Amino acid sequence: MKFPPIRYLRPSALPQALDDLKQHDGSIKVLAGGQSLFPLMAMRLTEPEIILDINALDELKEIRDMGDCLAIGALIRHQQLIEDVTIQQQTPVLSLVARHIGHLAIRCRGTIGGSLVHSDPSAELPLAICALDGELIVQSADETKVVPAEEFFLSYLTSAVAANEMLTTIRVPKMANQTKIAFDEVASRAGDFALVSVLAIVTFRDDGAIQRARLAIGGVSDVPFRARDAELLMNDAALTPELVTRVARTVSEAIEPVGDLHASADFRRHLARVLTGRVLNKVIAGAKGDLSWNPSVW
Amino acid sequence: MVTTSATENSQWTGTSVPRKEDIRLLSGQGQFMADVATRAGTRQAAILRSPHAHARIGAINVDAALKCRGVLAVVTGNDILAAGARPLAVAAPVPADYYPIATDKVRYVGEPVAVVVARTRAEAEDAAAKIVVQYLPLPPVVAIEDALNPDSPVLHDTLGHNVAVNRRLRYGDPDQAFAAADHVIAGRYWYPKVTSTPIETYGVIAEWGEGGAVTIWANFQGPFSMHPVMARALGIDQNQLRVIVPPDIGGAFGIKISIYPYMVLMALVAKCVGTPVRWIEDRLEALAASSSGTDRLTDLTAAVSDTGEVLAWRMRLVDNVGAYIRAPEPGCLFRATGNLVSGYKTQHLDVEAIAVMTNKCPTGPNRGYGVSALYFAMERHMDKIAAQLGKDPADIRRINLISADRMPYRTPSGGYYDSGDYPATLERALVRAGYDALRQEQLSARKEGRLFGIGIAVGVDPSVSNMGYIDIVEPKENRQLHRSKSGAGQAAHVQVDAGGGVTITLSTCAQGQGHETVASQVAADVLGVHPKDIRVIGGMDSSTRDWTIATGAYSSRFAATGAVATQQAAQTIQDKLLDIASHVLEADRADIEWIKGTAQVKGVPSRALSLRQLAGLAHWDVASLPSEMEPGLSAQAYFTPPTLRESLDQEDRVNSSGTYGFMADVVAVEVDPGTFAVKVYRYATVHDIGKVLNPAIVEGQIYGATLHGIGAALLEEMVYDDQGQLITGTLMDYLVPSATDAPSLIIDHMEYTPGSSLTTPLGAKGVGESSTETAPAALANAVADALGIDINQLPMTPSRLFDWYRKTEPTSPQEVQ
Amino acid sequence: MEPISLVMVDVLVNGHREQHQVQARQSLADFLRDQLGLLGTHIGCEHGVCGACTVLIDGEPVRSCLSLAASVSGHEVVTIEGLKDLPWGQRLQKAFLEHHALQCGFCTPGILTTMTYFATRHPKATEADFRDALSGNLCRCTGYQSIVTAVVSAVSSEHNDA
Ligand SMILES: Cc1cc2nc3c(=O)[nH]c(=O)nc-3n(C[C@H](O)[C@H](O)[C@H](O)COP(=O)(O)OP(=O)(O)OC[C@H]3O[C@@H](n4cnc5c(N)ncnc54)[C@H](O)[C@@H]3O)c2cc1C
Ligand code: FES
Ligand code: FES
Repeated sequence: MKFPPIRYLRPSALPQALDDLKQHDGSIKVLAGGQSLFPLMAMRLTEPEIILDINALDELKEIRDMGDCLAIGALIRHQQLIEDVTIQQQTPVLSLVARHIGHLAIRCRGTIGGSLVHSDPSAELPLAICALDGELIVQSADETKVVPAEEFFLSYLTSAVAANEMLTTIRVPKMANQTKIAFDEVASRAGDFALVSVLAIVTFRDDGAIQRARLAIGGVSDVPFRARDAELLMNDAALTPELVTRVARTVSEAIEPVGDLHASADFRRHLARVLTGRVLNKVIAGAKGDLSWNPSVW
Repeated sequence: MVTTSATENSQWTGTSVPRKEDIRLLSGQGQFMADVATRAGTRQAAILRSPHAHARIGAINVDAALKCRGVLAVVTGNDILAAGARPLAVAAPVPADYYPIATDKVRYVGEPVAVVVARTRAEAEDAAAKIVVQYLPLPPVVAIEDALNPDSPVLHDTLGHNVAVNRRLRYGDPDQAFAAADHVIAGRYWYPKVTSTPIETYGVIAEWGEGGAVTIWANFQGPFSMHPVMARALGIDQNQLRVIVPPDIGGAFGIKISIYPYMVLMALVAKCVGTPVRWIEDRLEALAASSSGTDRLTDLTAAVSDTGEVLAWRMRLVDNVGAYIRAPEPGCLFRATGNLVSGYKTQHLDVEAIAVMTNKCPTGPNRGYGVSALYFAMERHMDKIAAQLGKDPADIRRINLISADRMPYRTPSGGYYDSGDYPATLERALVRAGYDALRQEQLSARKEGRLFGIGIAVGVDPSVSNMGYIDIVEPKENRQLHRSKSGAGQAAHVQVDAGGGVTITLSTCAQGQGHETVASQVAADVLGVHPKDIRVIGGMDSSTRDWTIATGAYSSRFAATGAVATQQAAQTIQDKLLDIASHVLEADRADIEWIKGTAQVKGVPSRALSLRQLAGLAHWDVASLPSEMEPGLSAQAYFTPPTLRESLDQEDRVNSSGTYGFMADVVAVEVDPGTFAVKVYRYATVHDIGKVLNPAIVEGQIYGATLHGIGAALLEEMVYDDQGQLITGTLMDYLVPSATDAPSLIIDHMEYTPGSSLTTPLGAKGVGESSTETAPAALANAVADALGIDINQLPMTPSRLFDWYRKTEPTSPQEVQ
Repeated sequence: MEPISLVMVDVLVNGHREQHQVQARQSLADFLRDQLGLLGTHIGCEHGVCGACTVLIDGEPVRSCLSLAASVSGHEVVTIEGLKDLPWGQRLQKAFLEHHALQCGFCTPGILTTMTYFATRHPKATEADFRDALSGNLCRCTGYQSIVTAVVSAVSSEHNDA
């Protein structure tokens, strides 16, 4: 399982990297954390001629406060999402979900940009960015685009980043006041890709009713699934146990999962309903002051 | 029968001395197969493997591959035949040739088709991708039921069907017992194809020397009964084949027995290309084409009395051995012959033992070989019997277990259980688990709608395989005179140098069991030195070490054989030292005793000679030795349990193992009603393994063994689709338990009564497989109890549990917790 | 700059500066083993799952099978052979010996590097945290309990000493 022959480039500035992408369009692949790319190369499922190692691009390692959002560099590692104080405070959803990605060594290396471009429908970060309506800054030598999350994930393992482009920054809205978040996933083992995952972000009004609900389901379609119908049911309503049941049913009816080795389609549908219920119940519990997220050492 | 040992008042044996192996392993200085230095000019091999489950091989075009950078040669099946390869001998009378590389047909995904030899492994892989093979695909046979169907496609034309072995074994009078039974209870069970997946993969270096001798380095765990098999396949005499095993093997669990075809393959490739060749298997190769246990279909019917006694079993055991019946298969069917009744009093057995061939990876020994599948079916069935008779699962076992006063006990199929108190072991496990309190907890959990269940499994744990059990594959009329097998010999060599330094040389191919440590403990007690001062040479070298056919580390045999051989060799040395002392001190031999490393005239501490002094004499000063005594201080010893000095009898009875331990597992689980995740709430396991030589090592073995069983119960399965494609070809899909899946265990041991063992002087029985054999059943019983459903199949993945539960439950599973 | 297939690597490994030319495709694991002769780093799967190959890069645990040798230029690598020079590395080695936290020892290098990082960062972690941090390192021998016990005991004896 040795990597196929490659040539190697490690530019030290972004413009140079974008030029390289343009010049070698089609035969070059970006290397970020390598935690998805290298397994594929080891199995020779992908054989790029040139590897563009972007790890020396300091431009992509910044976390900037833009007022209403954070601009997160594509090279921010999963473990940083968990440990960085700004992220914990301003966009805690990322810290919450990143905790479930793979294992320690994978998280120390894998990057937010890599995970988004890789676009695994079971992955945690695509799900979070989808639920948060994040914006993705995609650059080529000739153009800079701002792609809304909705348009970014195209299908299974396919994102809107073309071969000559690079995802450079991820803009994530800061969490609004009176917002409760909860996430849960079922995986075969700790650290495995989720069979099904559910993320809920619920902002409450002063009167306790829901101002805005966001609900996203992973592992049930070829891209992260945003449960819009269910969200509509929740907006302006009170989050009662009855509503939770209705929402969970709505979710399970809206999805069209496919079965695989680890979980049948029926089981995935079932899990989507169960997890939706659990996650929203956590939100209810959180609304009463019971923290839904309780990191011990992270 | 067995002389009692000097170690009953031992200082070191029985204690958890820190392991000798650990210093090197903790600092990165281990010597594993991939660390073995190679001679300059050694080339690296990569294997092109079949993408088809079943196909005829047409032309193989290697032109493009040969043009690749760094490539020396490409070797195909035809080249191997031209180099004089002979088929690998099989243990069953099946007319189906087995070569280590495909010659005419491929019969499983991953079967070797060509070997590329290049400067680096990466270059060899580059070239392998350029080989063009014409395949003419054939319909595959994947499932056991299909292989049994005479109309299914045939893998081996020379055989004409896919049934490799079909033996009917009858013990006692099963027909009569069934006629007399109050209840006849039947069930069908599927055990998955699992592979113990040691973290270190296979590795082989092969190098030919002068005069047609070949040296093969490999992380081969034995048994060296494969040595003649390899020599024959290579067309050389056994003394021309030198097999060297490095001191460290990164786990084996039976899997590294089945490396021997690759040892032959690489030797043949090295012969073809004329340079030493090195091959380090990668993980994809390991998962697709190393080895695994069989998937087994079991039909069980029990004849049961009103009181709950199981009077007779009818068993139909069908093992899927994959594409070839590779030796030591069909051991899977027969390894458990002596303990077919497990720990139960049942006297009548009617057994149909069948091995079928399908387009899956060939099988071989795997932790719990031939036993986990048997006990999964039996122990599930005991619960069914209990349910049908309205008895508690603990009671049904109490009723049937062999009582202690019947020891030693001969089973109807020939097993010789020398000692053990099975009912007491079960009782202790129940107490340690808090069984009665658990049942109370279960009641209240159920009231809250929680899915809480308790499972019990017990089993006789066979170890130290008797090579003779495999003879059973032939019906008696076909057995050849003077061709029977028996025994389980293991050797050790102890030497004391002129400075009194002790060196033990093993040939046991340890894979983490701490043989070096245990050997040093045993010898330290005999010679009165500190274990840390003893040097132990691990690994193996068939040209320089003491060994025999059964040599190796498999079927949990070291404590009961290798450790004994070590002790006996050390004892021979001590005897010689005492002879010298008696001569030099001019005292009667009977008046000299060995105390703390000195020979001393009884009661006269001033008249003594130390080990060092005596060793000096033995080497430097022949004149001071008794007349006719030769200088030097070294001894070899071989040990085979005396109870294995018998082979298969005319009635198909055989004492298939040298020692039989016993274990009782009691487990409580809680199943999440929403996600169907199974959480082990409590796991108590109590063992009767005789004398514990090193408690920490034994505890480690039990922990590891249990987790292998839990893996098979909850996670592990080699899954093939109906075209014979392997779906679980990476470690992302073949799921082995990680730290978060592993429970803490409550482990306890039955007390050992010195002298109670009739089979091995140290009194230690094997423990390496132990709860691998009971955990799958214990967990299945617990989960069945929790969900109130019947469970006949493993692994119990959440997706499957959801399906099964939904089918039996009229109301849908609880929506939201 | 043109893409190159032979790359000069300049890296600090266990405190020694190493300068070598490597194939661009060479993994860090193969570089450590084949070029530097540091055979303590073990290869178990080459697709990131088993954890046996884990080393520390700039103090953080990384799969050396999922890294290029070319990428570590300018960084600092610590392997099992260098752990004795880290306070937690040595403590854990001792605890592993005392608690029989290894059998075949093939997984051990990756486990020690991972746990050294984790104990250094989170000396107050709980047993459950350690188990979780260990979840990316497969061990087929020990059943994990003795490893967890060893780590927990090393951490708690450190607390008691403090
Ligand atoms: C054992 C294991 C378990 C894992 N478990 C999980 C899990 O549970 N959940 C999960 O989400 N992930 C998991 N992963 C994957 C991990 O999260 C990866 O880090 C992530 O998917 C990819 O990030 P990366 O930085 O490593 O990207 P790389 O592997 O470097 O790249 C991935 C792809 O994206 C491209 N790319 C990367 N960065 C950019 C960029 N900035 N612009 C343009 N293209 C880019 C690359 O060319 C490549 O095609 C696991 C991985 C392993 C090995
Ligand atoms: S070898 Fe790198 S994770 Fe297994
Ligand atoms: S000790 Fe053998 S794999 Fe961990």
